[in-house]
Amino acid sequence: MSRKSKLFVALLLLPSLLITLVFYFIPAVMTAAMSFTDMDYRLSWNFIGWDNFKRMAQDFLLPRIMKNTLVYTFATLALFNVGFSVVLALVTSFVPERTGRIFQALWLLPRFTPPIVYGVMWMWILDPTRNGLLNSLVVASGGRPVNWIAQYPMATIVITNGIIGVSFGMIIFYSAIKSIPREFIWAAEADGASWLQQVRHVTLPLIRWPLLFVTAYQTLSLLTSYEYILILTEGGPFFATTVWSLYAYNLAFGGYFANYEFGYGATLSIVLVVLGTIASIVYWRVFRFREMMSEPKIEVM
Amino acid sequence: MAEIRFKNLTKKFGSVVAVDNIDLHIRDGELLALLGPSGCGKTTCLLMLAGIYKPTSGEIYFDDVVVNDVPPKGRSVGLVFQSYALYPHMTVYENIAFPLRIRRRPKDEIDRRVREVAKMAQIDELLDRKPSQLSGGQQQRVALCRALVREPDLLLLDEPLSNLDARLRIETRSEIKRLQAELGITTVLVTHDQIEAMTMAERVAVMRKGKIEQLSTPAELYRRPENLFVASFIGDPPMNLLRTQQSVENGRPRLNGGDGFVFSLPAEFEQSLAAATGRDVVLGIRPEHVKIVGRPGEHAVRGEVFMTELLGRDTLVDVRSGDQSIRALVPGDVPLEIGENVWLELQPQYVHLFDAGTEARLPDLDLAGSEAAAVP
Ligand SMILES: Nc1ncnc2c1ncn2[C@@H]1O[C@H](COP(=O)(O)OP(=O)(O)O)[C@@H](O)[C@H]1O
Ligand SMILES: [Mg+2]
Repeated sequence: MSRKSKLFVALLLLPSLLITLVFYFIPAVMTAAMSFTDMDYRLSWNFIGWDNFKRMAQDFLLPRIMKNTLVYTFATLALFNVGFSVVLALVTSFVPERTGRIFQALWLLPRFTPPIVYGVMWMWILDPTRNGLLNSLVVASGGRPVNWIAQYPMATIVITNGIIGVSFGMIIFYSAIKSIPREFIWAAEADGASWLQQVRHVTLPLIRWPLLFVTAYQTLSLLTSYEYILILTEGGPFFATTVWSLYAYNLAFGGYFANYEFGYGATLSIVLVVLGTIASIVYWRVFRFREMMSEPKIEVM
Repeated sequence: MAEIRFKNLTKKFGSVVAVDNIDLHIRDGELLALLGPSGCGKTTCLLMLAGIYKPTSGEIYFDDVVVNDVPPKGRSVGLVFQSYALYPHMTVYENIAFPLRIRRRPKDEIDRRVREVAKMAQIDELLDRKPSQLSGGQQQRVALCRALVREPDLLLLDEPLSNLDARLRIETRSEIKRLQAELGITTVLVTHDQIEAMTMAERVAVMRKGKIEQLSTPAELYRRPENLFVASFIGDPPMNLLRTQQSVENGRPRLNGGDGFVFSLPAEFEQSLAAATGRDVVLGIRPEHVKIVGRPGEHAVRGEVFMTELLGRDTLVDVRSGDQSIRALVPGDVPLEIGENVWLELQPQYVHLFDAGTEARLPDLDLAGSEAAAVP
């Protein structure tokens, strides 16, 4: 490439570089810088060195929050975002195409619903009085109303998030399954494999790449998302459902006990970014993304 | 081992009739080819035999048992696809072992049989490789091993050679045939390649639009095609098929092909032509049976060289005679000029006659020593 055309390419890339710089890189650097301050509602940049990190190490809530985060992330992943979406993709690709599509559209609805509406819907479903949907069923069948959110807070946030999260994997897995050449499935059938054996020995290995992609992508997105938890449980009762990102949010903006702790909140965010990056690298390594990237996404010969 | 019967077998996909009321008997231990152009229903037949498709109506018998509702795992069938469909994430060993693993056979038995069949197909050196590390020919052998490893009663091959290069195809052709004969396993070979069908199969079923047009030995298909479709489909270069009107002159039947093309047949053919009285007749003769001669003769027609094509050993000469175009396959490189006048000898014993209306073959004569009438 000549110097001139290199310049031209650089010029073309400039707008997107600028956007990345302004909207991602600068805030990230600012957050990193903020984590070394004790910034509060006065927004003053008062640098205090590693104090925030030392505070983190001594934060008695943090082990609990770390455990919450891991349980929430991996339970939602295993039960819904990967586990259930594989099941749904398999089932919808097995039944007649129309039926499958309608079924998928139903599962996409929550994703199109505004978070507040979705959250309020669940509050009504799980309402502790006898007017809640679930409780009205319980009462109708002779039981006593249950305070669902208070009694099963972790299950609540896993289920509510999972039901939304399912559709992403379902759509990706479905198209991956549909693009497996029919001959592979026929061959397995002719070799005597039952449906479950076909799934286990042929279908799942052939959609390995989408499986790993969704797992990694959803891990990161679950680590950083907290809006439904905020709406439904606000992290309670007593920190039972406070995950890392929500904790950081509450410290900075929330109404728990220490408002406007921007400095410490930034520290927690930065650590989460680092943890997320480490998780990505681990996925990258363990699943050898690099090798998969160079292969066709659906493996055929 | 098994013998297979189709009884009024039909398969429809919506309004598409892929297989149309077929009757067929595949003998125990035989290699039968389903031959026909693309889309004529060959693969559909095969997949019904494997149990992957269910017939819309009619029955499939394995020996005396109707297997319509028996799933693939309940049939003893090995299947090889054109694309081979080797599982890309498994090694060659795992691919071949798969049908046995699925059936939870003991490990040492699996190992013994995988190695046995791999050795027979000469791929025992490749067991640790992944399919993507193999050549097309090697992949084909692996697919064959996977189909054979559990010693099925029926082997189904769907265009097994189509993805191989020309030389390898010839080798593999005879190898599969040898293997099949050795194992004595009933085999159905699906192909659109007539050479493949004619060289490998004991009997060939020529299919068109979901129906079987003719079922016979390769030699008979060549010598005695039962209708116009088979006549035009079998043979390379294809048979000359000339549409003519019949008449009788001086007690001898004559075929009139327009603009001066006239061909006289011996008087005996009158019987044969009587079956198509009042209708046009198609005169068929294979290019290899047309002789170019220097002077007029009893069975010669006059024509003008239109084009010549050197096909290596032979030359294909395209001659215009009246309204008709006749191709002759002559040995060697023939020094013929375009536009040159020649005589073509069409020997009566090589002539095939068809009813242009029904497309069926007209009854044969019993000409002593004639090849055309020599039905085994
Ligand atoms: N799964 C299917 N769905 C709809 N139509 C099909 C299906 N399989 C085959 N067909 C149709 O049936 C006919 C026969 O197909 P096939 O058996 O694959 O032909 P061949 O193997 O001789 O090329 C074709 O017209 C094809 O389009
Ligand atoms: Mg086919």
